[in-house]
Amino acid sequence: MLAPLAAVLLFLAAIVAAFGYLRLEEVEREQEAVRRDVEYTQQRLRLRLLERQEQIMRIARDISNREVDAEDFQTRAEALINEYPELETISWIDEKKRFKASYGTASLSAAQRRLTGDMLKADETESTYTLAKDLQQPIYAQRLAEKDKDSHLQLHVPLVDKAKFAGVVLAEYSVDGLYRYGVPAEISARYAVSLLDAKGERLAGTSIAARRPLSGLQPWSTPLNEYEVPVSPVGNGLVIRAQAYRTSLGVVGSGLFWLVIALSAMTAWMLIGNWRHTRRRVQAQQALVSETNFRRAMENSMLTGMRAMDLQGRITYVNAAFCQMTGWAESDLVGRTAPFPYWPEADRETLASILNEELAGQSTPGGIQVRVKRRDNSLFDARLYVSPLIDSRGSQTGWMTSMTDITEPNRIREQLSASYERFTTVLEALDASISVAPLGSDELLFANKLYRLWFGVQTQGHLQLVAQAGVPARTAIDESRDSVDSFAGLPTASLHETETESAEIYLPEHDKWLEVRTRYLSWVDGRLAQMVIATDITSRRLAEAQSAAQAERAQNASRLITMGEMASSVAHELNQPLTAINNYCNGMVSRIRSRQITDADLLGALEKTARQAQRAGQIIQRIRSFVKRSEPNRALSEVAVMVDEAVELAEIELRRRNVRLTHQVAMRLPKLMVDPILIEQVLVNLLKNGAESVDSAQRPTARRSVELRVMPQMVDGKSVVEFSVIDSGKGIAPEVMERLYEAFYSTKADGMGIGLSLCRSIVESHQGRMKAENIYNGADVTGCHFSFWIPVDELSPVAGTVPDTQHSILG
Amino acid sequence: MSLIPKKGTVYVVDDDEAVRDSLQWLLEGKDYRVRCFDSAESFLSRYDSREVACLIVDIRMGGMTGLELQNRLIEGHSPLPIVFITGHGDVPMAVDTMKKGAMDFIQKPFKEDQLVGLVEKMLEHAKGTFSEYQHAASRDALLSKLTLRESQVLERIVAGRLNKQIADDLGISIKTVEAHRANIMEKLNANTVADLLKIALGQNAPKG
Repeated sequence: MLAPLAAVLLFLAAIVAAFGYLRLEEVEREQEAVRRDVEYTQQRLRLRLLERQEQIMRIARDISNREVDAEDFQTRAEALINEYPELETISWIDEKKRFKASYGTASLSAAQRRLTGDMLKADETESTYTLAKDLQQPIYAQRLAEKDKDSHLQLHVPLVDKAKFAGVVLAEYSVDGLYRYGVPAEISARYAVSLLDAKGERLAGTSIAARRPLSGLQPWSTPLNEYEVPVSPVGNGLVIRAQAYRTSLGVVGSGLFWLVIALSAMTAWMLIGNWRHTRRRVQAQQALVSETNFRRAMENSMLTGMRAMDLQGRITYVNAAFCQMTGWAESDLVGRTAPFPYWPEADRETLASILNEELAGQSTPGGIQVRVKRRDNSLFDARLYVSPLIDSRGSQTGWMTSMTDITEPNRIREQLSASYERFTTVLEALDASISVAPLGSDELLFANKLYRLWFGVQTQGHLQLVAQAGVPARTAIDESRDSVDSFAGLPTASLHETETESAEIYLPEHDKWLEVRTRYLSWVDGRLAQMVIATDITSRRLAEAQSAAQAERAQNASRLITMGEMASSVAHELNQPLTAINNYCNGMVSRIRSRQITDADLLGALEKTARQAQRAGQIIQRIRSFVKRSEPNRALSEVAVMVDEAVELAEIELRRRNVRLTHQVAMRLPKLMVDPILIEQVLVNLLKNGAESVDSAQRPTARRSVELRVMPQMVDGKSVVEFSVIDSGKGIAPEVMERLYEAFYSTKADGMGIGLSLCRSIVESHQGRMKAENIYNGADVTGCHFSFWIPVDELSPVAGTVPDTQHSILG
Repeated sequence: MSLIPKKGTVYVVDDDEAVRDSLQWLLEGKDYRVRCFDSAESFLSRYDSREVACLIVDIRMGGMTGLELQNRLIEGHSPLPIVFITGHGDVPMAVDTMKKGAMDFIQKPFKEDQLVGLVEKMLEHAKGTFSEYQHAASRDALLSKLTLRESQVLERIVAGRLNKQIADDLGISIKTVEAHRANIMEKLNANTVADLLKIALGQNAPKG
């Protein structure tokens, strides 16, 4: 993947290198050319200068040889200057530095003209003059360029007269002229040629300005191609420099470079595109391979056998499942025509006709059930589905058949139907009626035999059961609580999980008591339905009623027995008012007889008599109401009222036994859901037992007491009302304690052993508990503590905690 | 010796207010003076033994019972005749009280005649015992005047010893004994030895 990219990069690098190399070569060649041309120009200049020098030296020699006078000199100078325009002036200066003769070009300014008889100015050429005089050689000197004046080159050629210095011939060249005439035209056309002095100041010619900043951006731009050489006869005083003009070669070169760059970029882009394409192809290939593998795995894992046939009925393909099902190998089947080896011999004709139908395209959409023979000659049931094989061009190439082993489904179906049958049998045989109906519909989803027997096949029975079972329980709760239905706001889906309602109802038309349980359930089609299970509990109800009646009879009997045991006490209690009445009457009689009574006295006595008669009547009334047989009647009852009734009854007995009774009832007790007569019965029994115990212990007067305490308590997190009876008797012997609540077990000589066991059953029938324990002072038993509690009905308002008008009055 | 108005005083002790009040009503109709108490304790604190009276008490009472009250009176040598009111079934207890000297018991509800008769009988008896009690009380008062030596002498006179023997016993002279004897006779207001004996013996004699 990286290799092509590397190749492109390498190629690019090679191009750049080659380009650079060529460029360098070019530059070098150019430099060579510059050097050569400069050398050539310098040569030309030198030659020119040397020629002039030669001519001037000839003049000088002629002067020295006195062959020339000033006039001749003038003529010759004129000829010379006219011929060679670079020469500006030629002057003859004698040994006294005086111009003997001079000729200058016409273009010379007046200041530059040398006039005969002038003295050589000290500032300009005197040093050169002196040098030439000293060295006896021609000396070049450069006159400093003055402002707005061309630079000049001076040549001092000494004149020797009889080995004696006799002045100089001064030739002044215009450097500009030298440049104009000395430098060949083709050179100056190609280069910017300039003549420089020793300090690099340009004297003549042109030079290329300093490089533009823009050209600096071109990395390949070479430094300005230039070359400079001193012009030889003059020495370092004059330097010729040539600067090559920028040729069009650079433009052509960079264009090439850009082309190469563009091509390289395109190559790289193509390469990347190619690489991406390759990658996609590889991915597609991998996907194809995995898809193929997946399909193969699917085929192999599939339990459905697949068989493909061409249009002639020749097997072209079977999958692994098909081979496994039939037991034949793939090689045994592919290429075979009918009859196929897995056809049972018996079914061959039918199968052949089916195959023909298949090939004719007359396949049944639901599939065909056939028998298939395995290689081991065992048979199994299979279902075949046929569909045409269509290739990518849309033409049919054959038939694809799928085969499913339906032995197992058949078996399961049979089992299912058997289990359904069992289930139905059980439900039908159940002695409860079961019905299921969706909410808000008259449809009956399910009903068993008993339901059909009782209610027929209509929904009315179901609805009646729901109505009778559901409504009373609900409203009872709602009314007493005066709060929102606790199921309100609950999603209906959670209803059938949480709520199983149970109620006992009476169906007068069937004369039956039914226990009805309803339950919400999601029916098989997802609808919320209500199932009602009604069990006949008539016999149970009867038994319960009987046992309740029995219990009631027992309670009644027990109350009678209690009263019987208290008979003498009651007689004593009744005797008191009767005695008083008797006395009052006798007193009145004797007074009336002796006629010593006033009407007021008589009236007072009569009132007292009447009050005593009422008192006797009250006692009888109380006993009657205690003993009176009454229906079990549970109602919210005031604890204080029950306690008062019980205490008054018990006091009859306690008074007779000279036992003090104190009772203490906590304030603000909640009402209890009890049958008050039964609770009174328990209290009277316990108080009476306490008194008997005190009596039989023969305690002294001060210790003859029974105490009754009633106060609210908490038992296992429930609030209850606890009744405690504490006596100061002899307690309960350990062996008695075990059999305390046993019926017909008594420690009393005349006891029947019914009292305590009945008390306990009464308390427990009110969901309460009863217990007894001795009170010890050290090792001595100083009394006994009987207690029982009755749970406070959670629904009844509790004074003090719940602001309730009813109770705040009572409290 | 206080005045006896009408027919005498009847104390009624019963914790039942109605019974108490009706008894009072009944007995006052028969011209008895009736004083009622609601408990044995209050009766004991108010009882004046100098009065000729009888006591009607309920055998069952809260606090001190009738039996206990009887025991207290016996301890105090009270001459007060007692009749117990009993209820039904208290007969064994009542018999017990009779053994201890109660006059009688009466069952509720009372018959008027029976009760009045009983009260009459008790007051009659009380009058007797009351005079005896009065004598005994005055005798006690006389005897209490004697000095220790005189008591010793009287003791020996009653024992029938001669003056000489008494003098020997006590280590005093016969004359001194005689002087003591004279003092005793004077103090006890006795004229004869027989009187002296009667007074002296009456002190220890049991009451009827």
